[in-house]
Amino acid sequence: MFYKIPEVTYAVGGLPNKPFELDAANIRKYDSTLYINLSNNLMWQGSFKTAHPGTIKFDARQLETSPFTENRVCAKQMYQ
Amino acid sequence: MQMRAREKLKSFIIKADCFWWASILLDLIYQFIAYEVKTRGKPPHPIPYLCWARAMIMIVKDSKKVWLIEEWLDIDDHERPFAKYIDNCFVNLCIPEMVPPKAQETADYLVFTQHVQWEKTQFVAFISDYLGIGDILTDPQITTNPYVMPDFSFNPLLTFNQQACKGCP
Repeated sequence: MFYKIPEVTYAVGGLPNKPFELDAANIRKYDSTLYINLSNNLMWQGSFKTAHPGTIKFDARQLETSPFTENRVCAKQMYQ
Repeated sequence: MQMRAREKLKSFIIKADCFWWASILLDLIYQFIAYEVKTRGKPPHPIPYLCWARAMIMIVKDSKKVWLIEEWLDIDDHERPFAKYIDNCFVNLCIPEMVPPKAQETADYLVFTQHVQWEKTQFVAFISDYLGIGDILTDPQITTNPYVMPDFSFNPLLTFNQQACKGCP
């Protein structure tokens, strides 16, 4: 399950007063499949996380709503 | 979900929180600019129109895996180089002098955004660790004032360096 982090506009006095929640009403959810090659030679390593290039295949009913250009993405994993 | 996966999800939720706040604080800037343009007229220099990389949190069904998925950003070392504009430890610019002029303009503009965010949120928060490619920013961090928001302080930086903002007298 994919949970899209929403783009929110500012309103006076409207700064969030509680943490982000995956189940909030404004979080769009997608059923999708992520294709990603997790081999080390395709991994980029930043200071705090690693990243791999990949693509997402969205459910056919959601194709028109894909937020990613050509469904190309970068999958990031935090270091533990 | 096992403990390790829960901890991992928590770290991604914090990341999502940063994106959420960052979108609000950047929108604040464009609302501020729109208001100022309306009352004072257009500024003498172009305004960079920036946005955040689209991002999602992915939780794999029947698994403990959690990933942060971000839009793919094409890098071109000449036209669209990856740039880290402002660190999360210091508020001065951290881009090298040899970056394209547009990246330098963006960096100066981002210092201005920090100043406005800090002032307009009544010294609550500003976006730090600005980095990205072209007009797209990614991986934001939010610096909050721990005296105002003790429970929501990702990266407390107690002083904002107004001198870094070229728009300031």
